[in-house]
Amino acid sequence: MSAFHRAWLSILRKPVKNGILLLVVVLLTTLMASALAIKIAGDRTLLDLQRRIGVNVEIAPERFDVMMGSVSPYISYARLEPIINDEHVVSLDYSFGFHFYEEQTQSSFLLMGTQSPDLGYFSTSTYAPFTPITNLISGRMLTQSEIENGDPVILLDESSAAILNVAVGDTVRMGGSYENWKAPGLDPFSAYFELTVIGIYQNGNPLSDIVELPALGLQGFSSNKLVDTQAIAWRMNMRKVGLNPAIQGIVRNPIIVLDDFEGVNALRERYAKTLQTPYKFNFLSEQVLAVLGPIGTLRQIANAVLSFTIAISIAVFTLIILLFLKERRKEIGIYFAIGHQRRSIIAQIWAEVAIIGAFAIGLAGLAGQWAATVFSNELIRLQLIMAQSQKDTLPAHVLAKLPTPAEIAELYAIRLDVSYLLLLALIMVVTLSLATVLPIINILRQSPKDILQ
Amino acid sequence: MALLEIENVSFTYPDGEGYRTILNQVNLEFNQGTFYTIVGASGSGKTTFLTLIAGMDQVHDGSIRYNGKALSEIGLWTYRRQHVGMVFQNFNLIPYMTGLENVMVAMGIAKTGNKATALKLLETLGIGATKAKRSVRRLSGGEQQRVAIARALANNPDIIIADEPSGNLDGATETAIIGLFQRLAHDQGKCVIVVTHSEKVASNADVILRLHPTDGTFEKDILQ
Repeated sequence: MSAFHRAWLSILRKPVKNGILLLVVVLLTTLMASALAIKIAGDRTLLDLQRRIGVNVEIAPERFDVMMGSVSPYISYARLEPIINDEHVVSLDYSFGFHFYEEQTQSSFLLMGTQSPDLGYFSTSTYAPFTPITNLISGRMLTQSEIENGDPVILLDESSAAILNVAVGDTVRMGGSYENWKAPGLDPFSAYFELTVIGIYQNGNPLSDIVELPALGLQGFSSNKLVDTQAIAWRMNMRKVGLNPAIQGIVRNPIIVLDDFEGVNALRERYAKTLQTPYKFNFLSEQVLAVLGPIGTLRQIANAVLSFTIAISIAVFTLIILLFLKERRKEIGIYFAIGHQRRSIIAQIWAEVAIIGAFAIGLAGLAGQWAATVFSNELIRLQLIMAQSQKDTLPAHVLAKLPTPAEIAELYAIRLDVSYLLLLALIMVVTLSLATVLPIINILRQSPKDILQ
Repeated sequence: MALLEIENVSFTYPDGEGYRTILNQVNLEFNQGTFYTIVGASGSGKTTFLTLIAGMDQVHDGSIRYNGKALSEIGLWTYRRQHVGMVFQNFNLIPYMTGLENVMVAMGIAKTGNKATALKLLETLGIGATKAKRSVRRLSGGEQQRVAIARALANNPDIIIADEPSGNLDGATETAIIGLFQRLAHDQGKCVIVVTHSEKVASNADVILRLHPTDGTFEKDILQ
């Protein structure tokens, strides 16, 4: 009589005990299965949405300054360069700074800025002192068409103009590479790029960006928002305007857009060592999180429930099997006495656990699907409505890619498929295997003599 | 050559601050076709001796040989599986199985038979097919002991070892069980070794071995 046959008889002929055991196993497995179903649906949806929206990876420091709060120091473009030239990278969003180099005076200064053009900011902001109020003191404002066309014009702040010794109508020369550098795969750089100064503005706010001249020990203030906006960031890829980021570029809060979510890990592994502390990769930009947050929350809950249930199941199953074995001490002694070896007894216990586990997977697989659907569908619907209400804060290019709540709900649909059942079976095998470790040790410690006690 | 040879076997166990010797340089021989009983006071070491000759425990002092080969050489699992059948006072049947299944579990491990063989064996011991297919819980004490004997015979062993086999049985059933052991020894050539408190069982044996609790030695009475 095989171990499986003995196990089958043992289960069949003790219906009450095994019924209770099956009930406990099914309950715990149902919890596991529902958490797994939510996790699988969440993973699938997340991956799909990430692919649709794109993956924005922010390389940012996570540093906290007592005086300044969260601060974002700059990363040298040279350090960033190999990362953004990675095969998975499709584009880069950044705030940045450049050293201006003036040949006559042999001086240079650092111009820092932001990428977001906002003409309204120039005249209407009153959020002082953190947001500077700027006044045009000569020339004119940028026109919308100049911004959109990326015309080679520049609006300089007063202090920058003074350092460069330029007035409206003059040209400023940007770039000035110290060596012949070419970004891989991009246009050849030209050494200089000239911009016509169309206006000069004043901003006395000391909290505006700092102009530093590290090489010469000079420094000043530059309220540079519009300078950067028009002259460098908007439309004009800094590589194409002839600047040499490898030497001059200083990048702030770069956000890398990847073509493939799986590329994130590869990228991180490849470059984590070159990025020193406190720089690190943050996987999702806030706009992605705004959409995926609800699903991410569900996934987190599901992961926690799954881990907790597995741990509880291992403990409960171990306890139950040990209790059953204690009752069956004599039976095991009988098997020993008639010549069964320990492996034969262990095989029988394993077979019993496997049979109960198989029934549990069948029942709990269905029950888990149902529970997961009931639990998550309503929750996801409500959270997507909330997310939808926040989408006005998202940039247009992200909004354009956003799926509708109906599409997300369809993506998220919990399905009874082969991969779910196989994964559930795998988790059960691991859980039950771990749960039989102590019982097996218990059997190994038993002796044929036990039958006589 | 004797079927089973016990040579200078001693056994002591910790008892309070010292050690107690319950088997002291025991030398015995057991032969085929003979019905032996082992008698002695409670706690004299009968069961310990039984566990040693049944291969359920290692001999640390002295040796036990089966057909001239030390048990340690044969391997205790193999010895139990192929050469020994055990019968217990409280039957020790697997409670959730039928009589037939209990016998087949032993046949399965020894690879000595099938369902038909098991039914035939039970039949010869007075358990018909109908009863054989009943749960052992629904059999009487005598019937359970017959099933236990059938299970002990399932691997066709040379040696049958029984520990108080009639301890839970009424007089008539005890007589029947004694008859069974006698037939096994005399008709089938088995070496039957029974540990008992029953004078009735002892007096029907071919040889009585009396274990002395004080010095851990055996005294041998040959009755037939």
